[in-house]
Amino acid sequence: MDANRAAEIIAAYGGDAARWPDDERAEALQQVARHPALAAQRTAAAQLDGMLSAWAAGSVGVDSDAAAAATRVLAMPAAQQTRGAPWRWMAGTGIAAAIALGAVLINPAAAPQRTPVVHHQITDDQAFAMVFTPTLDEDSSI
Amino acid sequence: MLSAVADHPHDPAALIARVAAGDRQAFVVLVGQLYGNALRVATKVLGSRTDAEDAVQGALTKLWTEAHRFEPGRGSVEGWFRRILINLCLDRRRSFRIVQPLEAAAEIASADPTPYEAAVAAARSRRIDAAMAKLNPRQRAAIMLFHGEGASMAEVAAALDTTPKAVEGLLARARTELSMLLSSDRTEI
Repeated sequence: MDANRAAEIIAAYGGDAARWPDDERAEALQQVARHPALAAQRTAAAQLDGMLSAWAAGSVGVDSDAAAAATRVLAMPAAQQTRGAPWRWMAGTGIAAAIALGAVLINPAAAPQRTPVVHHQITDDQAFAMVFTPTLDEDSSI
Repeated sequence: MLSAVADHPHDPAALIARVAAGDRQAFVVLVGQLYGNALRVATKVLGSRTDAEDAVQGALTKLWTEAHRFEPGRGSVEGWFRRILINLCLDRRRSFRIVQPLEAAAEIASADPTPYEAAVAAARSRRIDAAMAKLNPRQRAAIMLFHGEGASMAEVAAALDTTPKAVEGLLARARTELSMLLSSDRTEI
C-alpha cells in the first residue's frame, strides 16, 4: 500500500481505524506512522467523525406513534388489495389473455388491426397559432 | 422457520414471516421495532420531518405488501427495510432542495436562554445541519448509514444500490465538502 491509498481510506472512512477495511488496516496504519501529513489528516478526520456522529445521533423528535403508523397502513384499501399476492395479478392477466384469445378464435375480426399512420402536415402559421393561442382557462388567468 | 417463530416470536425474521402470511399483529410489533429508527434516518437524509414521515409511511406500506419478497438468506430484515426506505427517500425529488442555507444558519440567534456552552453547541449543531443540507441526499444517506447506523461499507452500498468502492468515493467527496463548509468554525469546536 502506498500513502495515496492510505489517504483515500482516511478520506472515506474517517479517522477511526476500527472502521477501515480489515484487509488494509495494518498497512494503512504503517503509512500513517510513516507520514506526518497522513497523521494530521487522520486527526482532522477524527474531528469530523465526531461531528458527523453527533449529527446522526441528534434527536429528530421521534414520537412513539409507531402503532398509529402501522394502523394507517393496515387501514389502506390499496394495501389490502395488493398484499403479497403475485398470483392474483398473474391470474387476472391469464384470464384476460384467455378471453382475448377466445374472442379472436371465435371471431377473427376481433383481432386488433393495424391502423395506418396518417401524417398531418400543418403550415407554419397553424403551428404558431397552436403554440401561442391560449386556451380558455389560460386566457382567463392572464 | 416455524421453530424460529416459536422460539423467538419478536425476532424480526420470525415477525416478517408472519407478516408475509397476513398476520396484522406481527406487523404492528415489527413496525414498533423499526419505526423510530426509520423516522430518524429519513429525517436526517431528507432534512424534513414531514417528508420523512411520508417516506416512512411508504416504506411501511411496502413492508406490509411485499413482506413475501424478503429472503432471509440475503440479509437482515432491518437491512432489507433500510434499503426500501433509502430508495423512497432518494426518490423524493423535492428533497434535493436546500433545507436551510449555511449563511442563514450563521445568522440565527438562539431563542433559548441557555448557558454559554449550550448556546455554542446549539449554534454548531445548526451549522452542521445547514452544511449537511448542502449535500445531496445520496451523500447524506451514506453519512447517516455509515456514521449514524454504524453500517459497513458493504451495507451502505446495498442500501444505495451501488458498490462499496462507489460508496468510498461518495463518502470521501461528502466529507471533503463538509470539511470546507465547516472549516470556518472549526476553531470554535
